[in-house]
Order: sequence, then structure tokens, then C-alpha cells
Amino acid sequence: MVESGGEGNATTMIPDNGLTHHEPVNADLPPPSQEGHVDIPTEESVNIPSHQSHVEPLDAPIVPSLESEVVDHANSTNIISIDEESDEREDDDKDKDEDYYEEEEVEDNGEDEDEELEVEKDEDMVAKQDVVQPPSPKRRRYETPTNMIGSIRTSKQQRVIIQMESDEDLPDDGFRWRKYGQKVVKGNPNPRSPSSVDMTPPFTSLAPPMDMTQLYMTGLSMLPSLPVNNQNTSFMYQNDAPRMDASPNDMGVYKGIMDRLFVGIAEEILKRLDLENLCSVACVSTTLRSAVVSGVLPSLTSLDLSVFSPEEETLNHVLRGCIGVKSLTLNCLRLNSVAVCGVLGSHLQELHLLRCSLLNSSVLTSIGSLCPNLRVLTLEMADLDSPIVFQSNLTQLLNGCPYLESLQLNIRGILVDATAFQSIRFSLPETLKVLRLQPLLESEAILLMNRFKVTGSYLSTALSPSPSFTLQSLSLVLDLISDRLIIAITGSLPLLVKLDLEDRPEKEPYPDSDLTYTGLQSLGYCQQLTSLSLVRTCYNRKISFKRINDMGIFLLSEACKGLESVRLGGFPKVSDAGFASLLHSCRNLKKFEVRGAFLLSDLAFHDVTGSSCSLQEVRLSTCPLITSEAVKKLVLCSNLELLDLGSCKSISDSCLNSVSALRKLTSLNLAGADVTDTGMLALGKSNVPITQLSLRGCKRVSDRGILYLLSNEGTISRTLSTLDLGHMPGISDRAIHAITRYCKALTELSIRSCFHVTDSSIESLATRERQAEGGGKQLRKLNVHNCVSLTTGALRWLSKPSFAGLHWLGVGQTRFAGRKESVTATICEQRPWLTLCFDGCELGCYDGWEFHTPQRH
Amino acid sequence: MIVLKSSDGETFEIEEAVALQSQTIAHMVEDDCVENGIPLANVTGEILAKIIEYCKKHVEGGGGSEEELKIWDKEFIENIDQSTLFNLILAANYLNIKTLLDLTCQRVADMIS
Repeated sequence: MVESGGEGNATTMIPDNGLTHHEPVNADLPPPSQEGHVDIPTEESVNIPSHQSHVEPLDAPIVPSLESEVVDHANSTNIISIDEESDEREDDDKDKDEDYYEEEEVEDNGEDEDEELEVEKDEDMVAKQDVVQPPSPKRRRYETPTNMIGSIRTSKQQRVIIQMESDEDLPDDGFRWRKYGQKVVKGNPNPRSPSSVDMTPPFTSLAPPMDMTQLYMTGLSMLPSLPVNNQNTSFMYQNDAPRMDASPNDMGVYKGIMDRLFVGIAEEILKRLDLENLCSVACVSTTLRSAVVSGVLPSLTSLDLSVFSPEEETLNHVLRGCIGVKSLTLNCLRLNSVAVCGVLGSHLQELHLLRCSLLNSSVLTSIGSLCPNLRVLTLEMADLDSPIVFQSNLTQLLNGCPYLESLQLNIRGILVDATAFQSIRFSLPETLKVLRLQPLLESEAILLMNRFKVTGSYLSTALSPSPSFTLQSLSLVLDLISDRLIIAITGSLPLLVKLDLEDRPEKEPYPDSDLTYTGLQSLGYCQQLTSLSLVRTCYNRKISFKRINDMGIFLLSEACKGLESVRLGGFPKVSDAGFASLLHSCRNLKKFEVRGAFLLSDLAFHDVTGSSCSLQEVRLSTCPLITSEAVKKLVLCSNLELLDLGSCKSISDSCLNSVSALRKLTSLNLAGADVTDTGMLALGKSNVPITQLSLRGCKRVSDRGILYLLSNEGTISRTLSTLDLGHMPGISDRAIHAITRYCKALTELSIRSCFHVTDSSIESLATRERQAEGGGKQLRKLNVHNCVSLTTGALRWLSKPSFAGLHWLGVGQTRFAGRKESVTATICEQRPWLTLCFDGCELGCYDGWEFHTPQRH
Repeated sequence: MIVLKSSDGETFEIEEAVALQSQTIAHMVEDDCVENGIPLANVTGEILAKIIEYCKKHVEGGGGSEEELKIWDKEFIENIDQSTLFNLILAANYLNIKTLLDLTCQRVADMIS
């Protein structure tokens, strides 16, 4: 519980969530309020940006693009951070007494042993579910190009497209009965137009055997979207028909493309689509599919498959068509070494292998030998090998990839005995610009820095003035951040642009080996530093940067005036003066994040107009003294795009009045704030284009508030895509009905522990798509964990054809969760790609290392 | 001034600078076969009119600032129906006007997504 602890005594600081506020195992009332978000950043919050931000043209130098990296970093960090708050509670729940990391490992190993790894596909493939296992005649009819499109014209409802092809419409006596708009498929003596005939040879020769087609379309239609323009990285599926939410007009688009335009132009158009839309286009007809496959896929250079975890077969199918891929991002949760080695090759220049739970370090050797042109490498691995083996394989990797520019290695789970990277300093290529290692011991880190320095200074005295290691971005997760570490870093890497240090100390550091103002002052040596992140997290928040007070931050702000992104976590003794000085002296500050600053209050922002009007993202998590006054000042920064006030309990309605003035705000987190329905009214009337909103734990907001928010003339109902209404006892079916009615763009919804939500809410959410008049999006993730008013009747709505686009559903601790097997059987048989989570994870399951999959039949 | 003749007999007289945005026409001008006007058998009058409207706006230095041009393009492309759009694509492809082709193809891509 966040009390306003004025004095900086660590032990009276916010106790960790797990101890006091955990979700009850039985369906009782929820904990009284939302508490502080544990500022233990998961790997995810630090790692995901790494694979997202490195999709960059390789000709572009790394340095200028670091800015965009920082942007992406924060975007995705933010997306995750909303979720991770309660995640932490869940984990701490399970094993309060153990160390944080051991919790994770216990969880993980349990999952590994229990689940069958080879059989599950845990993502919903909408294409399959709507045309799931169709009988052959149906399938064939579907594949006929203009035939199908012609038959669409006769029906107005988009959803009926697939169902239209039932036997009563087209009696299957071997003949293709002519209907208006349809054309004879086999041996048509008068082909309609050259383009369609060229692309559709007689049916029998075109159609491969059914299962191959299905598999192939499975693969294609599972390709998620490249995160090109949108911040939301959630996976978006398409129906395998032209989008249901498209107006009937759009059907003409496909027809128009196929009939009127010839292949070259069609490909020109298709090249402008992102992967998700490419897949849906490919599912429309064989014409378009071959256009996609032959024209567009081979020209794809970058493929991001990180949102779902494919199996080897699927992966090979997907990659078969994409021969020009230079940059590959993969979720390797279910891939073994053979599968992964299958994708390696000398064409790869950028490789991100995430969540490699099954791989040991021999994959490093393989990468080293098979991918000599690699420039960017990210690996997240589990701790499966002894350090010695790991080190030798790592050395082989580094020797095999001499042009490596970016290296990010994350070994999950270990910290105390982190010797895996002990020898890395001897083999790092000199072209390296970005380095991230997790975990690393402080002593090792110092040796690494000295290595940089030695090489640098040798060359600088002998040959040229510039150091040989031009590392620009350094990110380390250590056991301890100390002065000598920072001094070593700044001494060896004067060209550093981005520094991200995080430590998780086991015990209280000694005075001479902790961070003090000396270390902060030495950061001034890095003249080009624009991004700084110093975070200390500890289970129970007992250990923090206690030796840094305002003086240290003064020195920091004097030393580093060019900072554009600052993140400080675990500085309980720094007060308003320190933070204000930082805001004041860094004129270009765009991102400001503070976690667990218990002395930070409104005063720090009183002068914000004078100094930091360039602020775009402000995150003040768990700062209990912040009130709406601070928000009033902050909104004077008109460029503000993200405002995260999670667990700031003193925020009240007046802040929403201020927020309504922001024109660019897209993400707002008011978890645990003291807002009421009146505030919702203010927000609902404004024109703030919010896409992500979290009102978790806002107990005073009720149905009326949600109605105010959505049914007024503001823009929020049109733009909202992620909504978190967890732990709000005031929310009931009325609110959900309003959401169904007004929020057309909603893709993620969390109504955890809303006790008054009943089956009719599920019904309205399920039938939402059918009512969409066009332009609506499908719900992708739904979390109804601990909604105890749901009965088994709700299960009916979870089967087809409702919830067509759903691919993640959290149903733990509901009444039907007790019958896990039967529930799984009924739902998952129809929807093999749906992930059902009974374990209380947040939307999308924590950091993705869990194997939440239904059993395959 | 260059004369363009559409497939349905309409003639359009436009300045050379405007017409040269089309690579096809530019090549014809280079090859010096434009005395009697350029017949465009694949393009109807209606579509040709639209294209000329676009080209006039986008002629070098005349249309306005980049922002204004973008807004104008948006207006232009959103106010035409699908059939015209496809015809425009084919015509832009035939006349090899890259910017118009980009604009129209992107519009179709946006309609799909």
C-alpha cells in the first residue's frame, strides 16, 4: 500500500505487492485497492524494444537511428508496463518467500515439464476457424476465384460468405450451376477477361492437394503484421474472407483488382500492404494469392514473426515463400535447434531469436558458422548450459561474425552466479555499436570496460586519436551498480550515446561499492549521452540507491545537459529539487520516467513550461505525492503523447480536466487513481486521441462513468484500442454493452475481477462483430480472470462463430475454470489457435515464456 | 502546348511542362512525334481530364507547398469512386506517371487494409 511516506526510510517504503496485495485464490472480493506497481522490470520490458527497434535499413548508419530506437523502446515498454503491474502480483503470489528470479524459474520449469511441446499451436488462426476442416466440395468452391467473388455479390452480409457455400445453394451434382454473376469454372469456352484467365488455369491443376493448401494458407495467414506504423504490437488476425468489417464496397476492391488490373500493378499495390493485410488478401482468391506469393513475398526483406510461436513445420512453410529475407525476428518458444538452424544462412543480416526455451548454446556455434554476414543479433535464452560450455560457444559465435554491430544477449533466470559472459571481452568484434548483456557481474563489467579502454588508448596513442571501440549504446543488467563501474564505463566509452544500467542487488551494498554522486558526476565525460537509465530494483524495495540525494541529481543535471531520455528507478531520497533541476537543465528532454520516487511531488513540475516543453512521455509510477496539480503543469507540454500515472493515488478528477486539453495524447494510465465518473465525463467530451487507457482499480468509476466516457462527442470511443478495466467493482454489464456499442476499434479488453460482469456481457462482446457496420476491429485479447459472475452459459459464446478474431482469453478463477479439461476440449477443438490461460496472466501472458496452450486433439 | 487525344475523341491542350510529368509523353516528345497531337487509345476523356487535373497541380513549383499538395492529393483521391480509381491506375501506368501511380496504388492498399 502506498502511504505517503515522507521520510526516506527504506523499510517503510512500499512493501512489495506480493506480500500484501495478492489476488485471493478463491473467488472472494478483490484486494481493496490497486497498489504500487512493482518496479522490477521484467526482461520483457527491457528486451522487447531490442527486437523491435532493430528493424532498420542496414545501409543506414546506426547512430542516427538510435533516436528511433529510443522511441520504440519507450513505446513498447509502455505497452508492457501496464500489464506487468499485476503480473508481478501473480508471480509473487505463488512464492513469496523466494527470490524473484527463482519464482520465475519455478514457474517455467513447471510449465516445461507439464506441457506437451510438440503438439500445440496456441494461436488462433481465424482463417482456419472459419473454414475449419471443410468438406472437399466446400473447399473447392472457396478456392475458385471469380466464382466466389461473384457469389458474394448476391449476399449482403460479409460473414455469410463462407457459409453461403453450403450445399443448398449449389447442389453438388458435379455441375457448377450458373447463378447470376458466377461463371463456369471448368472449361469455360468464353473466358471473361484476359487477366482472370491467365491467372486461373483449369481448376484441377491449380489446386494442390487440400491439406497442403490448408497448411500453406495456415502459414501465410498466420503471418502477423509488421509493426510499421502502429505502436500496438498485438497480433492482428484477419478472417480468411475479405474483412468482415469492411463495407460491401470493399469487396469490389478485390474484384476490381483481379478483373481490371493486371498482375504487375496488382503486385505494385500489394507491396504497399503490411504482412497482416497481405495474408488476408492472399486468402481471398488464388489469383491474389499467387500474386502475393510470387510477387510480393520474395521481395520482403524483413520478417517479424515474434508475436506467435510457430512450430518447425509452420515456420518452414512461412519462410519458403520469403526468400529475400534479411532480417528475421522469431519467437522460438517451440523451436528446437534443428528448426532454428534451418533458418540460418548467409543471407541473414539481422536475427532476433526470442524466448529460446529449448535451445542450448550450440545454437551459438551454428550461428557463428552459418551466418557470417550478421550485423544484428538478439538472443534470449534459458540457462541450459554450464558457463564454460556457453563461453566457448559464444567465443565461436563472435569469431564467426566479424561484422557484428549489435549484440544483445539475455540469459533468463540467473543473476547471482552470472559468469556466462566472463570471456566475452576477448572476442567482441570492434565494429560493435550496441551491446546489451544480461546478466553480468559488476566485476566482469569493469573488466569489460577496461578491455575497451586498453584497446582504445593503445590505438589512440599509437595511431589515431579515436578509440577503436565505438560502442554507442550499452545496456547491462548487473548485480550491482557502483561508482567504479560508472567511472570505468565513462572512461572507456566517451562516445556513448545511450546508457542503460539496471541492477538487482541481493544485499545492501557497502558504502564504497555503491553508487554515489561521484559516479553520477562522471557521466559528464560522455558528452554525447542522450539516453540514461539507472534502475535499481529489489524484491520488497528494501535496497535502493540510498546514497543519492538531491546533490547527486544536481550534479547529474549539470553534467548531462543533452539528455533526451531519462529513467530513474529506485531513488527514494531525491526530492523535488533534484528532479526539477533535471527537468530544467535538460532542454531537449523527451522522455521522463521515475519509479518509486516517494519524495517527488507537484513542486518539481511547477516550472515545466519554462524548461521542458519537449516532453513526449512522462511516466511517474508509484509516486504517491503526485496530485492533479502536477498534471496541470504537465499538460502545458502540448507534445505529450504518453502519460503514465500508475499507482499515484492522489490523482483526482481535476487532472482529467487538464488532460482533456492534450491533443496528442495516445496513452493514459490512471491505475489506482482517485478519479470518479465526473472525470470520465470530462475525458469523454474531449478530443484526446487515446488508444490505450487503463483505469484499473479506479473504484469510484462506475458504469455511468464509462457511459460518459464513450457516448459523448469526444474522440476516445473511436480511437480506443486497449482498455483495462480490471479490479473495478463499479463495472457491470451496462458498461460492457456501452463498450460494445461505441468502441469500434477495441482490440484488447481486460475486465479482471469485475464481479458484476455476467454472461450477457460476454454475449454482447461476442456478437459485437456481427453488428459492426463497417470499420470495426475484432477483439483479440480478452481477460475475464476472476469474473465470478460468469457462468458456464458464457461458454456458449466462446465457440464459433462468435469472437472470430480472438486469440487470447484469460479465464482463470471463473466458475468454469474448474472444469478445465472439458472447457479446453470444447473450445479448443474448434479454435486450435486460441490461447486459453487459466493461470491469471495478464493479457498475452506475462513475458511470453509460459506454455499456455490447449491440448491438441 | 501539347495536344492529347483521348480514346473517345476528346482533345486536351496542355502545357508541355504539365504533360512531361508523364514519362511516356516525355519519350514521345523526345522522339519528336507530337505534331498532330498524341493519341491515347487506352485512356478515356473522363480519366484523362482527371489526370490532367493532377498533373497541373503537381507541375514543378506551381502547385503550392508540400503540405498543401498533400492535402490536395488526399482530397483528390478520396473523392473518386472505385471504377474511376482503377481506370486511373491503369492510365497512370500506361502514361508512366510515377507519383500518380503511387498515390492511386496506395489508396487501393489503404482500402484493403
